[in-house]
Amino acid sequence: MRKKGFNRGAVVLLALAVTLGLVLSACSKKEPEAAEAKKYTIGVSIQGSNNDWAASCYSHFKYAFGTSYADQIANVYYGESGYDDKKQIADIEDLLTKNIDLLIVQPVSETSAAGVIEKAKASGVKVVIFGGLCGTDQYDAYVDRDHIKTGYAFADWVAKKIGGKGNVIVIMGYPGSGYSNNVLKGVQEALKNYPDIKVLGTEYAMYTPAEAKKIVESYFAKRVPVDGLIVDGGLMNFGALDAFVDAKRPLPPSSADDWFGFLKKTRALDYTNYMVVNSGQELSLDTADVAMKLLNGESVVKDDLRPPTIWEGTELATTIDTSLPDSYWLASQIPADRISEFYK
Amino acid sequence: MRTRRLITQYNSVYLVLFVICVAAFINNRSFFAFVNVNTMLRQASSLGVVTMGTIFVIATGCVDLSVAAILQMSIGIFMVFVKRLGQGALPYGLLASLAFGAAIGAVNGIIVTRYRVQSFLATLFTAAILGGVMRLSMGVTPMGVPPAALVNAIKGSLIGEMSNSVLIFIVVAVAAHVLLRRTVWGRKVELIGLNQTAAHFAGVDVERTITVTFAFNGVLAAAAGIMSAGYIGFADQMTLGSGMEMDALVAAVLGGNFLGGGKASVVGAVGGALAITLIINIVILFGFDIRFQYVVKGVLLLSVTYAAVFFDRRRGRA
Repeated sequence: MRKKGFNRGAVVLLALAVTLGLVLSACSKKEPEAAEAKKYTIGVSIQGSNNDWAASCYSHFKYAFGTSYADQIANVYYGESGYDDKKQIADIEDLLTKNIDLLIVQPVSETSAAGVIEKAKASGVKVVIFGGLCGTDQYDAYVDRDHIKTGYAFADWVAKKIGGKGNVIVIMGYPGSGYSNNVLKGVQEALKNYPDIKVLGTEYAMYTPAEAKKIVESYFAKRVPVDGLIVDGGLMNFGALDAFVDAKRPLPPSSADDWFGFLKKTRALDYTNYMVVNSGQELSLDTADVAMKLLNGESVVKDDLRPPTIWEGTELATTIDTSLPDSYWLASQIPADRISEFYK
Repeated sequence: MRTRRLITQYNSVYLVLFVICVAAFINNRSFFAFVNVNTMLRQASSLGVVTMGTIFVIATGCVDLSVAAILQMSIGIFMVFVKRLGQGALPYGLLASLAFGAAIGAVNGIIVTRYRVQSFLATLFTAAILGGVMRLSMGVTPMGVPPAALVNAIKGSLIGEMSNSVLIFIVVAVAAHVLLRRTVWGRKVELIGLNQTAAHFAGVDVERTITVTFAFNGVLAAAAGIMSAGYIGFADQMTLGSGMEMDALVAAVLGGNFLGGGKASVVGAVGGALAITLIINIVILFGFDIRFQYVVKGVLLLSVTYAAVFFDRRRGRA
């Protein structure tokens, strides 16, 4: 009997202890849960990594979410469209199935992704656009370089360098693209201030040095002096300058972006009569900052267009580190100790 | 009667070229200046070399859509050799690129002949695979500046002021003409294109001939890649040669070479390559919007085709 009573008491005590333990553990769990910051899931739809510019954008996103904001991120899903607008739509639809809190889109075209972006926004996902127009205003933030101001800076610099008179060739990227149209708009605005400058032609070299070289060589056939080159990109200017080298003509003032392959070529040619602007790839890091601010409930500028940063050849002549890879960009925000990790 | 003999499907492109050149000369008297002619020929040389291979392939009744991919990958392979082993490895890099072109061409030929895959599809897949392999193995960054020896060799002049790239184009065109007209292989290629079954019963090793033709085409595509890198002074494996497979096909067709196979013409193809290259020059000389080049290309193709049909009909009536 005694033995039986002891057993019953022991069972009751054990049950109380277990209950108390469970209650305490439940209470103790609540405190850290409240203190722990929410971790976010982000979807990033990028144009692709088919060229140095796009690859650098991708690198900046990976760096930002993998390093700077790693403690706030649960998952980042990337969709690489390979410059295929249909694939980008499919990528975004896939990303939306992953319960993302925020979607970053680097649009391939200016209209194609509008519908799926609106769908994302309507479903409560925060949307940030980077590097190009998307054909809708249904987004929370848009971060980009101001392309009209960029075009203005290109043309104004070259115009001043040739003393406000002479012949120039304008070389843009893709005909009909909204980006090229905006840069060209800036170029044309600037050239209105220089009535003595004659635009020999506005051409599109599709970001290839070979095409740019052929274009400039064809102008040489017209036997007219070419006093300046307004070029929207280092890769194209590489070819354009090569045409001058082959024709044994003096290298004219020119514009380009901050791609290191071009900057290294200027060093090899001992050419300083140029200006470059940031290409905007580095703004993907700023886009990540804006995205995190949005997620943390901070206010952001909806249309965040940044003015271009300008460098002149004379100031870069002694500072360019030619040991850096061609794929690097002067305005890159990747820290020096990690350049080799992101730029091959 | 005289017109009938002079104008054929293979040289009607020269008639159109003549009209364009006269119009360009009237518009700008410096059009025929040596510098401009040399520049245009230099611009045409890479495309011309690729077109020489293309006419052999289409003479067999096949097409090769992988030439641009072979060209780009060859640039990459050449530069890998030079970067890893130093400038002294230039000949090895060159040989490796040409060997690569031959190997990929042979693989195309084997897929087409042994596995009976249509050449259009087989070479399209090869191009896709090569594009992927190139991005994976070499990245997307241009491979940089090629050795000065190559750039000087391509840009330099052995004969007067004529660029060496033009000289290479002429040598390749003459060799292609001799191969086509003076060798058994050339005859076999045309016979296969005319009637593969008849060629087989006539004792032609159809599989081997087509495979060798694709390999030959691959070698020329690789050579054109190295020439392009030398011409621009920059080994951009991502953009050099882009779209060249279509330009080479159009150049061949402009030169009277039918995609259905059969009789081929090197002379016509040279005219076709020159016409394609001339388009940018003409558009800029006339001060047209550069987007007009696509319209000009289409009009040119239509004009040459119509000229060939017109003179063929007249010949039929006579």
